[in-house]
Amino acid sequence: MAGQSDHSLSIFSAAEVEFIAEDEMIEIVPNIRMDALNLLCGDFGPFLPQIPCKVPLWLAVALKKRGKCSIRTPDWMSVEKLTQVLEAERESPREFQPLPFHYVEISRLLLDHAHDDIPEVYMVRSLIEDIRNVRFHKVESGLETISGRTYAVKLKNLSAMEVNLVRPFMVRVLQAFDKHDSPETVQQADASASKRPQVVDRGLRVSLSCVTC
Amino acid sequence: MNMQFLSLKRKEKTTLQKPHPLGLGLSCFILRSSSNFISIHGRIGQGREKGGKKAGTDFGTQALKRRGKRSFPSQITSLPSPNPYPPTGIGASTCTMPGYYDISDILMEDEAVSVVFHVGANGVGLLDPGTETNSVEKGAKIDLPFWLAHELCRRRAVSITIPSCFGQKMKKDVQADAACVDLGTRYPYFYEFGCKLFPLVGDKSIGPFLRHTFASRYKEMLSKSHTASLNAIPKFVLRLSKEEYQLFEAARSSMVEFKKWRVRDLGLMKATILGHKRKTDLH
Repeated sequence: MAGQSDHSLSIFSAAEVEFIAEDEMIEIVPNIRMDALNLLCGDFGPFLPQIPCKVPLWLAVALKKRGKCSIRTPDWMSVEKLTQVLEAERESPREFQPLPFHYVEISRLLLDHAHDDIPEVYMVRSLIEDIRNVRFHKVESGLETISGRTYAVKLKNLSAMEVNLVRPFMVRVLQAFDKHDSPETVQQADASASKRPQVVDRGLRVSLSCVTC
Repeated sequence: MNMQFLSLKRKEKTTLQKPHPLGLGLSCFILRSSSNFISIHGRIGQGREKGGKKAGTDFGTQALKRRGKRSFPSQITSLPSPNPYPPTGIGASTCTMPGYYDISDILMEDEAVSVVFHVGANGVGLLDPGTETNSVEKGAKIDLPFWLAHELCRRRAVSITIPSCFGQKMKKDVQADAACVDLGTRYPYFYEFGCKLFPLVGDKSIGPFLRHTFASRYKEMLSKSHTASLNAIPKFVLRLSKEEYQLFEAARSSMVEFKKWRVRDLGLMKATILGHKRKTDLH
């Protein structure tokens, strides 16, 4: 993995990010009757057939695999909403549309395990792929604008998996630029007394919203 | 000698990859206690010794002592607290120190630089292949490895001339097209070397030159490293220096890992799904 040799970068593997994503709440419609589950992370009420209730995603997937429930797709995963998001992404070249933080992982889990619960599942799948592509291309084109002057890079509304993807590269690039920049600033301080180089254009400001949850 | 060290380094890479809770310093120590490493290092010690074994002067032995300290740490049992900042003199480089035990740092310091001696030195005639007596004349031009030249320069016994990789020809090449300059084969330690060299030599333009090279190469090549295809190594990888290659590897491996995760559980379902996927996929 990218981060292992340099443990200061503290990379998450994709499976770990997925694990963290599974804590999100989702609505299910059980088809069995079950008593309340008292777990460490919370109590999930008595399950009655055909009465929807909210559970964490890992529990929903587990129940679904055993055929004990059907999962209700979250609101943002409908075809209309996703088309809207896709259009908006294509229009604004520098901004990212607000999407749930773990949309990649949630959508993957749902599409894998609950594809019969999602209306128009192939459309949804291709839309999400497109959204992911467009966003990733934006990230890439943003990466090109990092120059020596960038102190921090800020990416709003980027999802957990996307952040995890670019994190090792981005961190190392910023470190490398910093390494090459610092002798110069010291040298300039020698030459012209106490005049720090003015940072004019910071390019994209990206704050690495690390997955620390 | 270098080749043996490199092959050992490759073998060690597998052990180095294991995440160790105590970090790289301790894993280096574990390596050191293996006999393989010590025997090869013994050979390297000899190589260094050849240069300065008969050193009547102070310089050689001082440099050797530092080198010797690196190869044979006295305490293997206790936890090392390695000084990550090797002792530097007047020309303290402000760039981040890679660490005393860093292998690529050690390899990088093996690069040869051409120096001019300010003083005569007795007993180190082996350094100068053209001398008859066992000494080096004042004003002689000799090629020394960088670690030796660094120490001698600290004591103002030599002055380092700028090697060709930072000379005029290189600057012209970089200005023409930075991305085409082949750093991978010619000067794999281009940036690190420049950072270390920069405070010792009077030339103040190396710093900005390095930065400019890196920035333009980054723009052309490295920003595309995420989408570099998995099997076919793109041509520009061969032209990257060691440091740039690490950046490239970081991007590529995280991309590979993500893709593996994506298709992980699909199993038998993959065929039907592939048929419905749109062509605008990341592959």
